[in-house]
Amino acid sequence: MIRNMDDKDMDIIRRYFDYDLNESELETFQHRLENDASFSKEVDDYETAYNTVDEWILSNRKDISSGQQQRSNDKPTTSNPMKWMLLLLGIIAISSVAYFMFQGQGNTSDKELIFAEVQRYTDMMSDDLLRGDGATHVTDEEARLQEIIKAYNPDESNATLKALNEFISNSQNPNFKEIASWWIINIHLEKGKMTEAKDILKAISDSPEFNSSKKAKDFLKKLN
Amino acid sequence: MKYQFDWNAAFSQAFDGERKLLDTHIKMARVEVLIPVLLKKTGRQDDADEIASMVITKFWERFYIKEENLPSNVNGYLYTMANNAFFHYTKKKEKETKQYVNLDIGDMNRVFDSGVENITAHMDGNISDKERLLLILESSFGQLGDKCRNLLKMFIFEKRRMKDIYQDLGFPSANAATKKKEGCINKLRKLMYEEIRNQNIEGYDS
Repeated sequence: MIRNMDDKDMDIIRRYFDYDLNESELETFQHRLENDASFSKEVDDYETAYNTVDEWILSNRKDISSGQQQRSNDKPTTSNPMKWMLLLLGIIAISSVAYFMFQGQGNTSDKELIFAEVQRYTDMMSDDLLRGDGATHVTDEEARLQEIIKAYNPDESNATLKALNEFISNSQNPNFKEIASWWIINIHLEKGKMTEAKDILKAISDSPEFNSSKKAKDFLKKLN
Repeated sequence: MKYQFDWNAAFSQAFDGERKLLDTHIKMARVEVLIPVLLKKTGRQDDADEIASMVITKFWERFYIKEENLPSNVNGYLYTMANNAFFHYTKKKEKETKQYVNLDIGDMNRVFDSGVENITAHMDGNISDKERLLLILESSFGQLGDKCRNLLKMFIFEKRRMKDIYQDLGFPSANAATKKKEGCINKLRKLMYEEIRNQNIEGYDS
């Protein structure tokens, strides 16, 4: 007779497949997997049960994910085993669908992801440069740029664009000009003005005095 | 310009049929939470992208399709999931050579064409591991208590939302019903696991 694992082990293994273990549990789990053949076999067997049950649920409820929820007063499906296994008609498909849905390749969400990356990059530059690595002295230019950025309101983006363009025209500091340019790119992207955003990315990528010229070139490539 | 996450609102709207906010949350979680953490761990963009997709797929399946209760700090929990997925990813690479039985739809239908009453005959005959798995799933479900079977039927076959069925099932809240549902699913997995151990069935590649 094969020994079945206890509930505590089963709970840990189930949480492992749910991606739910904390760092210390994960470390212990890894150690047991590598050093305890019996535990490793239990994990494999549990994985089979976990996958079968999950795919059964996911394939049945896949219409939910596409928004085609059955009306609550519809008659329930019977528990006929034929229908049960229609459940598994979409079996392998369901995980793949969800996977590719969010893989971020080859669909319209790509651009949104790139926009978000641009936004994050701008935030990072703003954090590093505007705070001046903790310096207490703030120049007038720095203060002015902070003021423009803090006052940014998506509903009044034209005013911010105007202020940023004026700032760039008057500033002597390439670092601040660079940050201001990235903010302008962000605002254009938020407004859906792709051509304008690309023009500025091109200008940055062609400007050797900007530290971010390579990054701008990368984003430009992705957007094209 | 950090993105402001409100996961409860995003899921609540999605369960009411409006997915836009949840889709945006997931995209932003990928960019702002997962990719930076995973880039630090892996040092490679392609690995980070793949692991982030694993996390998001699991997150989507658990909290949207299976409607598990949301953790209190979702972004923190995504970090935990990223750690787990990183471990799975490295294990997966090690296991790539392992042979699995592939479930095949035609074979499944062939087994079930003969009906549930013939389960015992199938078990006694010379049937494949994949056929056994399907039979075990059926019989394990039958071993659940009435409350679990009813709950899972409504949730899985009728495809209803927990917020719409908890009262019909006599639970005080959708949360309580969701906890019970998790318990039922875990019980089903346990019953299947025990039978798999007894029959020594190989796994399959999902």
